Amino acid sequence: MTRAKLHVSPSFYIFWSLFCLLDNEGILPLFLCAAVIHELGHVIAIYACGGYICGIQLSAAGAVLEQGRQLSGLADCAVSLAGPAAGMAAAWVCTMAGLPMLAGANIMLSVFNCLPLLPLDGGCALSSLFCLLPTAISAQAQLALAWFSFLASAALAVCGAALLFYTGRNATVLVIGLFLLHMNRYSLRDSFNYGMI
Amino acid sequence: MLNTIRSALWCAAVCFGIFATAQLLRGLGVLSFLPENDTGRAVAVLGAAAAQEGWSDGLVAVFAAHGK
Repeated sequence: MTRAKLHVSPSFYIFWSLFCLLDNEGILPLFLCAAVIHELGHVIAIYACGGYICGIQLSAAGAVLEQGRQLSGLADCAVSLAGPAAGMAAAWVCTMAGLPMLAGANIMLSVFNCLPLLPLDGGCALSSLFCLLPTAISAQAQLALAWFSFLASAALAVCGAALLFYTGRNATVLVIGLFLLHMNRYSLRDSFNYGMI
Repeated sequence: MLNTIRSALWCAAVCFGIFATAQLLRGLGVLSFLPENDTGRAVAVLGAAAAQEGWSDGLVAVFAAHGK
């Protein structure tokens, strides 16, 4: 088994600091647990599909698992969706165990990651499926997905700014929109990595 | 391997330091100017809905049906 290297980008600490400052309800530990479960889902799926992890990068996009071996399109898609699936399974277990807050955090993280935007898992899964198409169509579909992700991230940031302006609350939506916009710069370059927010 | 463990421990320590500092500042009221969030309420609503609306019971029923 290859040993994975850990790289922590300074942007990760900025991301973490912002969420620590904005967390007035003390729910950050819940989301941290949910994020660990989510990433474990990806890790298990990668090894189950015959791949391995050569590095873990923590950045403003959360954790990015760098794979040492490129998998097939379908396997890539399964790996992308394994994170949200693990989150939903954990939510079910938490519900049964009487932990509604942890269940809610898992559901929220999983549903958000299923949005078809890069670099979220839904976007990565779509991108993997596009790789199965003929080359010319695949390239156009990837470009369309990148543009859609960029525009949707911009729309989320604008909506977040409007929400903050009109209500004076919930700056998190704006912060997430801005991080997604920032990360769309890497969306095509890191075509076989998996992002988590 | 040692470097990876050292990086992970260093990262965890820095993150915990940031978290503890933010909690301390919040306790002192220094962060009262920051906008508040309703994410916790949304999480509570989702969690309560999951527990009360019975989607978990539905899933149990699905798996139980396969087990019969």
